Amino acid sequence: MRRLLVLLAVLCGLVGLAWPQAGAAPRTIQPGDKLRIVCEEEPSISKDYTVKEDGTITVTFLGTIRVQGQNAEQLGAFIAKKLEDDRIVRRATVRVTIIGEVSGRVSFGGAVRSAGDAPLTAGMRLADVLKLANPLPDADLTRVQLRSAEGTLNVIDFTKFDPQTNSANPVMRAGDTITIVLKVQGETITVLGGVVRPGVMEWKREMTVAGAVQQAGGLSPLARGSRVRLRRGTTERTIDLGNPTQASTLVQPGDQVLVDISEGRRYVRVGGGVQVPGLVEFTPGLTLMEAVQNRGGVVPKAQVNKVEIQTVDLERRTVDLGPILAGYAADITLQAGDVVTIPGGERRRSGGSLQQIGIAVIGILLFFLGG
Amino acid sequence: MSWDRSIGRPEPVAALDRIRHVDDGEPLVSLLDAAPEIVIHRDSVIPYLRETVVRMLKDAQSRLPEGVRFGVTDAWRPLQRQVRIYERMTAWLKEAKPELPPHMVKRTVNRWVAPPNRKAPPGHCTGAAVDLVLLNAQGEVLDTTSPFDRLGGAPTFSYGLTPEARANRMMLYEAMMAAGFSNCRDEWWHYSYGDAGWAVRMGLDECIYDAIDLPMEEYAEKEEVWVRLFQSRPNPFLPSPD
Repeated sequence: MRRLLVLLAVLCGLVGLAWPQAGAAPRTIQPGDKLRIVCEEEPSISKDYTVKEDGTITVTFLGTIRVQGQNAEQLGAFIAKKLEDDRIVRRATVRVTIIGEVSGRVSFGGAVRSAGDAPLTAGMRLADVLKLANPLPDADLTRVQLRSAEGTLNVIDFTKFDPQTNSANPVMRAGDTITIVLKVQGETITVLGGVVRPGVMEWKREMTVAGAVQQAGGLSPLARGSRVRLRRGTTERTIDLGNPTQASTLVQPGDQVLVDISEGRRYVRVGGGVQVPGLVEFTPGLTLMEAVQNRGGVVPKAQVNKVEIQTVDLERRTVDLGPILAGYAADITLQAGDVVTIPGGERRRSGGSLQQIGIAVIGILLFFLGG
Repeated sequence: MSWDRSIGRPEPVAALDRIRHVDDGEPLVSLLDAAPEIVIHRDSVIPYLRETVVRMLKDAQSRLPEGVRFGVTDAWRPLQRQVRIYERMTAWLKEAKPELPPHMVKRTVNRWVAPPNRKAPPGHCTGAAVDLVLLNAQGEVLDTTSPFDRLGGAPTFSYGLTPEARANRMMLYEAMMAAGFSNCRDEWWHYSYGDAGWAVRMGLDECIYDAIDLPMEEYAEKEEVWVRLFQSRPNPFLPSPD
């Protein structure tokens, strides 16, 4: 009896081994597959279908049916039975063939250990691609960029991925590109406008608007501290840094602090080869020569033929100051906020005094030698 | 496939050479005319890129936060400029590291500058590649490199960046990737669409743009400025004097 049981167990084992091989041949249907369904008795359902991302197709009379996971034969039998059960036809002969498997490639890169591309496989989803890409420990998975071959962009919060429902885990299509960015350490705010070091910076607990401005290097000379805009989502309020209550308004991660620089537009900045580079108060009709003279005039080595004027809109033009200084050409009227840069001959205070000391030493030597 | 981000990994020259070019002759267009909102950040920049690339760059800029814009530090380059950069970088490296054997010199220089004598034309010579920085409303450069200087911290995902530099760098990266560009992982500032580098990065076997030329008179003046600026640059392979 025991021998018989052992023999039975061995036989079962053999069948078990053989079973997956027998079942491996028909491929199961996956999202993205192209199916051809032919029903001899009901030609209106005979056409080609593409399996949707949720694993379904929509068939006339039958509505949306789930096809993912079945093989072609099973699906044919299922549709035939449904057509008969719903009394669409008395007897249905349905043939399903998978005519197009997904093909193409998916590329991935950014803050990952393994950037590159991979062939698209049936039912491949974002999670599968991320497994291949192997994101870095400090990758920001809340902002995974999925860009299709047609150029549509989808930003996915993969931390919301649920393997049960496949939420935040879309099916890949040929030509998709996945890009991972680095997590910005901690939470951040953006401080822009009239500050010394504008940009994104780390948010700190209990950080105030004044503190954020301080963190950004403080107000720049052109800033207007009385007009600081605090933007949070779609709302915006104006803060006067001179008002202690307003200045101590707390900032939150994601806030934007914009320090107004409109006051700067009442000045013209003159830099480079002038005696005292700096700001000139703007009055309507202020000319280039007036602005240059106001800062002590040009230094000897200044390249006056290549004076650059940059407007507040960042438009640049180069003018020749030489003929203007000599009185041969008309002076140029400046606009508020213009930045005038004269290349070359930046004044070197120390160099100048060294030169003077040098001349004095030579003079003293000559005096003694002469004596 | 594995990639050490502290060292970075440029696209191998052999892989670039395998890419087929199917250039349909899309013209170079001037950024000054087609995208006046984008700032040309250096006087030496020849502000030309392929039409599609300009359109994508405009799209990328529209994705930046208000008050931030791109400053172009290099766009289309004549092959001659590429040759000069390549030769100068080779000379600089030999000066800094005279003990390096020739094949290592070549390999190291290839990491920073696309060799001009290979089948695949350098990205900048095709009008598909652009080098960028971020600028604030006053035209000042946002920090994307601290605490590094020169070529240190060049790989886009370098370790050890300050939180501010990293955030700003990611701001640039996200906007450019969202618009469909690809980034050379070895250089945070270099983005391209449609050249051989892009094709290798995207796993494609053909690319859109081949080398393209501009009439010399369009850029002769810029070239002079560039030569002057380039000659005054310190050797990037030597430690910073300060």
